[in-house]
Amino acid sequence: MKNVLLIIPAYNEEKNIKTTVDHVLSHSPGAAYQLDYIVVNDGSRDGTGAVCRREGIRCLPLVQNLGIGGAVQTGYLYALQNGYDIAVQFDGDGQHDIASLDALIEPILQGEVDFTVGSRFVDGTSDFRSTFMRRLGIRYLSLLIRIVSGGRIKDPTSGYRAANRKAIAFLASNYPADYPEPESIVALLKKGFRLREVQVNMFERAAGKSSISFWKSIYYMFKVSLAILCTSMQRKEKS
Amino acid sequence: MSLHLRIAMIVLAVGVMVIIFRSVNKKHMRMQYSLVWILISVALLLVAIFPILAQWLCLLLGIETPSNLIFLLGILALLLLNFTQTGIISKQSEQIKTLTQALSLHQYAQEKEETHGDEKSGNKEG
Repeated sequence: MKNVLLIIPAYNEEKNIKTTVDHVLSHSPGAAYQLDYIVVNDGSRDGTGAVCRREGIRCLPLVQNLGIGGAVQTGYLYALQNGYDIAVQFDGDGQHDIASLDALIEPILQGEVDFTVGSRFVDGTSDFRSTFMRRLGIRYLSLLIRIVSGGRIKDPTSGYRAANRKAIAFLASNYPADYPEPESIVALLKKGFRLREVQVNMFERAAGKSSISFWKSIYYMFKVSLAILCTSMQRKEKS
Repeated sequence: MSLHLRIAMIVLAVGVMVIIFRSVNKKHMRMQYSLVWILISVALLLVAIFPILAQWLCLLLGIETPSNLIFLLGILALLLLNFTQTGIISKQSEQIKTLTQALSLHQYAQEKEETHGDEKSGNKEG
């Protein structure tokens, strides 16, 4: 029996966090694994911590705000310290569909790959529809990753991902600080981890604002491109 | 180099040295980080007292006036200082992140030990 941990980073998600956790708990895993979750409260200024205490939600509060990268990395550290076999990143804002979890972790349970990326675009069955500009940006990042590392990932910005023990140990000590998803994919590929993209379902955001506004997206593209190029220049690990 | 510039440089250099030594003594600044400032002010002082040093360097580098040389060296020194400080800041951000994570994980583990699972858990215990 494998132990699976859902890492749910939450920053100012008082409106969404209970729904998200209820949604998670509604999922009954098969006989193949046991499911746990941990909400990482990234120094929220709203009532996220209070909601978690009131509702009895399992919550690991950071003593100060670290940003999404630092929060998710704390989840990986927790998974590592507590000996979980698989760690899954799951957004606290209700975008990710827990029904896709089995599909996401299946290749890892089978020992076929080390890391899976939950993608909205593998076969187009996801409910998620995004704007043209956003798709263009994702296409561009996907192409950039393919050029520098040879890996074909159609949805590199997806935050719905799963890692096995080996990948957990790597990510616990190597995780980018901001906009970490595409960068960490390149790092994993460079280090010789086996990655696979899996079709998952995602919803539109339930409440609150997306963490990336229009003007930030310019900075986002620039920073992530630079990070991908930087990471790609790291030496390839001999496996 | 005009006498005015030389006097200004001497005053500046001495002022900087006084401030640096006081800061180090009051533990506002680490000795390690103060060295570079002391070196800069000593260099400034030397050039102000012996302008021939600057003139000689100017001849060597093909710079027309000593004041230009001083500006150039000043800008280069500041760039270098800024560069090393960016490195220090980055290293410290990483250290602060690691500390925050270690402390948060530790506090959580301790709290869990004290209250023992009346939390809404995953399907593992439920």
